[in-house]
Amino acid sequence: MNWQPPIHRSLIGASHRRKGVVCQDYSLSASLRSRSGVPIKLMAVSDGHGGARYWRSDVGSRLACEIAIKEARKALGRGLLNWSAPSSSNLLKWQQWQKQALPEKLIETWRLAVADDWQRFEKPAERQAEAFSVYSYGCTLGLVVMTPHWWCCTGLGDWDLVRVGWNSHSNANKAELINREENVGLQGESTFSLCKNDALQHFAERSTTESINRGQSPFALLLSTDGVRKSCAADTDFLTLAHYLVSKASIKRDGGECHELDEDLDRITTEGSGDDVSVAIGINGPLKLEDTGA
Amino acid sequence: MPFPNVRLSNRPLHFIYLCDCSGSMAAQGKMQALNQAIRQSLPGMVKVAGDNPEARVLVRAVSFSDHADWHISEPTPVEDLQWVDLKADGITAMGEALQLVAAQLSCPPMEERALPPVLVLISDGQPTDDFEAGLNTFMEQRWAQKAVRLAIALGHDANLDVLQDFIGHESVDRAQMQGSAQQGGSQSARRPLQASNATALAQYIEWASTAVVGAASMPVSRTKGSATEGNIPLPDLPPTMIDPIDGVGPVVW
Repeated sequence: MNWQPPIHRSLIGASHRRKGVVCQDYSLSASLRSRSGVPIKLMAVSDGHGGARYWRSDVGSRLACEIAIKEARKALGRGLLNWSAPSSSNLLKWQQWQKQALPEKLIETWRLAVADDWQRFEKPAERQAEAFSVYSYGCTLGLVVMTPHWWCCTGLGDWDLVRVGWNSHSNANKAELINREENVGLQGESTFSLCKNDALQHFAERSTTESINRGQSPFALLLSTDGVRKSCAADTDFLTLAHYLVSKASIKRDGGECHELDEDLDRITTEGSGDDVSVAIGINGPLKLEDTGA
Repeated sequence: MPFPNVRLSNRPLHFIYLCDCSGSMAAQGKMQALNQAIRQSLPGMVKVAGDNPEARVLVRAVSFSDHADWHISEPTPVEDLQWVDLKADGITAMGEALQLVAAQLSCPPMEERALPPVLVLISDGQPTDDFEAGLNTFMEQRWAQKAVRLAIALGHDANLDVLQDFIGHESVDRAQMQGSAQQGGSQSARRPLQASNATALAQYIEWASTAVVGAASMPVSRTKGSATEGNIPLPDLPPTMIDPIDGVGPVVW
C-alpha cells in the first residue's frame, strides 16, 4: 500500500501570540521518488527552544526541517530502493543510515547553515557585539521517512510520534504513542537539542525502523511537537486528539501545508499549554476512521 | 467530524512555601514580617497568574517547628488563597518538612504535564532533625530535581550551607562560572537570598511569587544541562536586592 502525500502545519502558540513572540515551531513534508522510481514520503517537525538564550531558534527550527528533508531526499533519491520488500540486510543498511549517517550529515549541515545565517542577517543594535553561538539557534527535530515497504523515524528532543491504525485485539482503530523522549535525567523544561555536542548520540536513541508487511491494515503516523501533548490533561486525551487530527488529514489528498488544521490547532494551544503547536501526518493506505467521540 | 471530547488544560504550576516556624522566628518580628510579606505578595501573584493563563498557579505551604505540617495542604488556586498567619514555637524540623513535600512530588499526585514547581524555603536557623535524610528523600523525586528551588535566609543565624544544599551546589557552581555580573551583582538566586530586615524579606517574597512564577509559567524549552540557567532561566533580582545589606534598610536580624 502506498502512502498518501503527508500533510504538515505549525501554528503560533497562544502565549507567544499574546507576548508578541514569533512562532518557534516549524514543520515540512515532501513527496519524491527514488532513482528506481519508488515513491517516498517525508515529514519533519522542529521546535525552537525560545527564550533569551535561544533567540534565533525560530530560524534554527526552520533550517532543521529544511535540511532534514533535503538531506533525506538526497540520500533516498539516489539510493537503490526496491519495489519489492527489502531483504533484511538491505533494511539493516537503511537502519544504519537513519541512525548514523543521516544524523551526522544533518547536524553538520545544520551547524553550517546556522553559522551562515549568523553572518548574513542584520543583527539588532543590542546584538551587534554578540559572538556567534550555535545555542542561539537551539531546537529539536523529528523526521519520518515513509516508503512502501518500511518506514523509519529519527531525531532528538521532545517530539512525539503516534501510530493510528487497526488493532486486532480491540477490534477498532487505536492510537498508540510509539516514540517519545524519555525524560530520565532531564530537568525543568529541558530537552535534547541540535545545538548540543551530544546531539548525535540522542538521534540514535530515537531512531526506529519498521517493516510494512503485505496485507497490513492501513495506518497513520502523526508527528507532533511537545505543545500538542502538553496541552492535554492525560495521554488518553492526546491519543484521542491524534486520532481526530488523522481523521481530518485523511480527507486531504494533495498533501503539503494544511491550513484546514488551523482552527483545531488554535483550540489546542489556547485551551492548553499556550505553546506553539505542530503536526505532520502520513497515512498508509485507505485509512477509515470512526468518530472519536465528540 | 467535530472536535473530540478531550480534556485540554493549562499546565499546573505548583508553588510551595516551606516556612521555618521555630521559636526563634518570634524574635525581632521575623514571623510577623514573613506573614505580612506573603500576604502582601498575593495580589501580585494573582496578577501574574492572570497574565499567564497557560499556567494554573496552585499554592501550598508547609510549616516546620517541632514537626512539619501542611499549613495549606490542598493545592489552592492563587486567586482563592487566603493566608492564615503562621505562629512561631518549637525547634526546626527542616528535614521532616522536605520529607513531607517529597511525598507530594511523586507522580501521582503530581501531574506528568506540570510545569517545574517553584519551592521557596525560608529559615532563620539550623535544622534540628536529620536534614540530610530529608534532603536525600526529597531529591530522589524527579519533580524535586526539576523544581525551581529558592531559599531565603532570615538574619545572620540562618544556616546558609543547608539552604545551599536545598538549592543545589551544581547550580551555584554554574552561576559562579558565568560570573555574578550577569545576575546583577553579588547576590544570585542560585545562592540563599539573605534578608536582614522585613523590607528585604518582602522584596524577596514578592520577587519569588511574581517574577519567578512568571518565568516558570512560560512554555519555553531548553537544552539539557543548560549550564547557567538552573531549571528555568531565572529572572534577574531587582537592583535594590543585589546587596540587601547596603540596599534595603537597616540590619535588624
